[in-house]
Amino acid sequence: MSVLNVHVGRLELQNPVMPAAGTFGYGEEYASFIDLDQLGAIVTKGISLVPQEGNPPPRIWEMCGGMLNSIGLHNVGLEIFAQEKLPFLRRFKAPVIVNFFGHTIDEYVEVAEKLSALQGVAALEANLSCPNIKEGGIHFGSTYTSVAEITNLLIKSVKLPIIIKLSSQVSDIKEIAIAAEGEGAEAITLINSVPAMAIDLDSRRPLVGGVTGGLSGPAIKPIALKAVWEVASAVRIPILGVGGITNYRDALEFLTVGATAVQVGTANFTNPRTMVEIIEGLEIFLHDNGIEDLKEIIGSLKL
Amino acid sequence: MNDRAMGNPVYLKGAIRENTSIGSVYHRLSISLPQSIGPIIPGQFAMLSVEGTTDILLPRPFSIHNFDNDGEGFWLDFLFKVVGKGTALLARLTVGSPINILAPLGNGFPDPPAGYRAVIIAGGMGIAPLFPLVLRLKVSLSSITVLYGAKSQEDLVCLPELLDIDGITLNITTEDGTRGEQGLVTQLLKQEKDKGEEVETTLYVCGPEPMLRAVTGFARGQKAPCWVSIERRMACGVGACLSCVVMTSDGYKRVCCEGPIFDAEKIVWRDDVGP
Repeated sequence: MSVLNVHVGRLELQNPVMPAAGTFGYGEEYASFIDLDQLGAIVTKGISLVPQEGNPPPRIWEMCGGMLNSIGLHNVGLEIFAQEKLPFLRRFKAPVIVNFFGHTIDEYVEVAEKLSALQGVAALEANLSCPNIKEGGIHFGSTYTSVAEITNLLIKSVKLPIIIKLSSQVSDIKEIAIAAEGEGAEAITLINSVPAMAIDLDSRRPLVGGVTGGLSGPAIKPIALKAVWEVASAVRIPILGVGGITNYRDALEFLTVGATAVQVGTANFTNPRTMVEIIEGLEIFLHDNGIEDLKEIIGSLKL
Repeated sequence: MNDRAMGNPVYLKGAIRENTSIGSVYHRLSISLPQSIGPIIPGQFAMLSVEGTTDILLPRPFSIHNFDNDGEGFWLDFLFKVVGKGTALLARLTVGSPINILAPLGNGFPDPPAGYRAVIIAGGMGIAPLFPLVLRLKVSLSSITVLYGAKSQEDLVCLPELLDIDGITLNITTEDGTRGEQGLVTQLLKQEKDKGEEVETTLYVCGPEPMLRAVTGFARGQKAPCWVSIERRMACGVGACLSCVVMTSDGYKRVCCEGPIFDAEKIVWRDDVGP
């Protein structure tokens, strides 16, 4: 039996496969299709201090190799998450990583403090990269100074492992990742959906309600792979690679360029069993290639 | 609304049992399943996807049009119109081809209160989820009226099936007058009203959004319960992605979970019914 487990900071994962925030709801939505305990971790929808309604519909548009979304971080808010969503997730042994965001730096800290006080939260993933809200999100993740400041405050405020989720759409992703590492982030998630747009020429209207949105799916895999590869060469903390991963070979590509674990997003929509099939695929691949430990693949790119 | 919340949807590999074109752009797709699913309530839907294509990424939602879930064979029927790449792909599938199904999804139509009659209003492809409702209500209800409208005669794709059902009243409109009364199906509602109101009515409606809105307004005037089936673009179909929301008096609701069937009174209609 091959070894699939990996360490992401203080977290020990039985395998490197987990959902990408916002594509897996609060876990319960997929519990009738897969055993959540088979996953390396469970990553929730992004949580904010108060419930957020999200953007006006239409919220998605499918395009060549990808999906444009303009959900706008629609979520139940911290209180309902704690009361109605988290109790379900506590039933599972897979660690729960709660994704979160704020509209101000103070709000990021407040949400993190309140989430860290809840039983059953293993780590926090700060979304510094959502393309769909005007304040918060990508605004905070685009400069060295703001990433350093927010990471510093989060590390000082909470004891849980802090994972910083970044966008690829910045001038120097290495510099920004170094800022997060320097202030004590335990891991970096790369990348969020890519800012993008689609219009209907006949009506001359945008195809999503938020006018612009975030592109996800196979179309962004090469962008994500390059971002992970660049950052892996610049930091020592683990990277969670995400962007267009659809099968175990995609997952292995991210590990090869230096990711320690992977997140699966859009592919969950196509096939709710995707993550379980990826885990099975990894086991078979290691067995067939005589590789005892998956960690041998991490960062094994030959140049 | 949650008393009709979905039970246990399953993700299965089915096979095309029948794929018949009806006119130039309509298809009836029948899918055989390896096992029973459900129970299925009329109004529920399925997400369909085809493996091995890189052209289409997301599954597509379709109302369940007919089904056999406890007989000798397990199958689901869908009626659809070719409108884009996804439906064009489905239209090309040959008998025996594999297809992935996530079903049954969403809630279904509730029964009318005891003693009420049912008026079912379908616009174009809106007949798809209403047809199995007619079959179910026919078992217990003595008075069912179906008002069925479309652009033209060839768009009345479900007409032969409806004509086969005994004991229902069926009234037709077409916008070009090629079959039934000329005009919009909503004008038949006024005639229903003029028939007198000795019996209370529950309305069930599916079709283009301006039509849903018109029927909702009529129902409000009559103080009649009215159930609408809402259509939205979807990615997951199971409540995770939050793509398919509709604005209601209680805020945004997911069409895939809290719907697709809603109490018409709760919908906050958009002025812009864009793409």
